[in-house]
Amino acid sequence: MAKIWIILPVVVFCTLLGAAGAILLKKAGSRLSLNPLRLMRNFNLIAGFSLYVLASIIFIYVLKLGELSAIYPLTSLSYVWVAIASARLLKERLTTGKLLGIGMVIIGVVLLTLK
Amino acid sequence: MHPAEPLKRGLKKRQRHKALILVVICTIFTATGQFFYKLASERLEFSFFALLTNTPLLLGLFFYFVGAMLMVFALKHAELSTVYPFISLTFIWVFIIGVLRFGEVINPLKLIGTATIVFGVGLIGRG
Repeated sequence: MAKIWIILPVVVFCTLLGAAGAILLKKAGSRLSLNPLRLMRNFNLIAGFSLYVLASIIFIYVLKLGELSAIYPLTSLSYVWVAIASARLLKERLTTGKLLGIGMVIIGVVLLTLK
Repeated sequence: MHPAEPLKRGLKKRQRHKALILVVICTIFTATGQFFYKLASERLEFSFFALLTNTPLLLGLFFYFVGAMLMVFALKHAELSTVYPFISLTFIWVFIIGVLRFGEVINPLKLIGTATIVFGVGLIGRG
């Protein structure tokens, strides 16, 4: 799959955007209220949401280039980014279990891109 | 032990079960969103207006959004580390959708790769 040289970098970019969005949404969640006016002024919520939408739209363009079942699993990289970011920003520990999981995700991504 | 302890533990268990059910439903919504994304990708054009009128794209965003809301509610009743391994279900649903609805190939590399990712994400989540 020669197109992988386009697909993989773009997916990596999308997952980075998505991970950033997820972190912002998590921060937004701590100040969540069901008051629509307050919701609209929750910057983290809007920013996180926008990043997600942007990541999704770019992802859809990439989906054109290959199979859904081959490309979608690559989005698991976002969990790797969130784990690493949480370790650095939120001082959460990168346990052996997490490192093993990150390794497995990377192996899985490599396997899928080999196809 | 406080007399209310067993009651509290039972309540927490039920809350956790509620959360897990929400997560599973969330994964189904997310996978459905991806199904629509794939459909949307097949009728893509590069103009902003075309994006706004791309029905599968809008449907996909809607399902994804509902899935995300379900996650938010689920996380109110359970820890992220409890819930994470179930998120991997999404990869399984998407695999099935890809094969059944889009006629995508099943080959050992893809199967092993997806399975490894499923376990990997679960491990990351359990921490």
